Amino acid sequence: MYSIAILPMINSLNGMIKNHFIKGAISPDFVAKAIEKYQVKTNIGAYDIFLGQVRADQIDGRVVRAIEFSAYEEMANKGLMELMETCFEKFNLTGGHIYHSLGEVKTGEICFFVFTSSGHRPDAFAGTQFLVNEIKKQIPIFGKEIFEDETHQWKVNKL
Amino acid sequence: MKLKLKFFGRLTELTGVNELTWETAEELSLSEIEAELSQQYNNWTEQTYRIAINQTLVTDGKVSDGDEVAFLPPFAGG
Repeated sequence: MYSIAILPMINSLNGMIKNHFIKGAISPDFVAKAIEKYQVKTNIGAYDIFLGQVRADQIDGRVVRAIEFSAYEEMANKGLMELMETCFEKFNLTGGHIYHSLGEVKTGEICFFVFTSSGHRPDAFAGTQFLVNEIKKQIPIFGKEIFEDETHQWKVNKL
Repeated sequence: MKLKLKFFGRLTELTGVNELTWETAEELSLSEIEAELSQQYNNWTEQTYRIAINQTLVTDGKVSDGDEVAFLPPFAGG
């Protein structure tokens, strides 16, 4: 059911822009592997992880079965890189990653994965919270909530 | 001037396309572009969106030849 996404680095006119998007759901295995890669860094004492999961909201008697995500990818990838740079300026972090799904993600699946690491927990806690809140506000990602009867509505973040 | 217009999310249901290229004899301001879109698409003026020129959010501003103007409905990431 799950596959590990390969994250290509893409070239842009502004230099190397990291691709933060994954097609479909983010698997728990992908999250585990991301942590595993960092374990060689023994100055890390704390990780803080946020995982966003698609919720089966009930709206006017209709139940959400999936969200189909889309994004202004070029702008979003640049914005995410800038947010990460700001996060490193504000907090004493040793690492950080942001991944977001594109395309359809079913209820109960993970669509958003943010993690930071630091020597001690306060910076990792604060860093992850900063990233998650700012991404919801600033990054051009769009979500179509698809109901079980195949009707839909467009999701709007509550800030 | 030549412009690339990009539409996202619910706005694509209105326009039926993700992208348009416009070539005009005269220079267009942002508000003239919006006025033209409201002529072309029913309910355009009722839509909530922000505008990015060349991937930077703007509230006003000059549009230049070759610019990419994106219309962004409310964000829903996370």
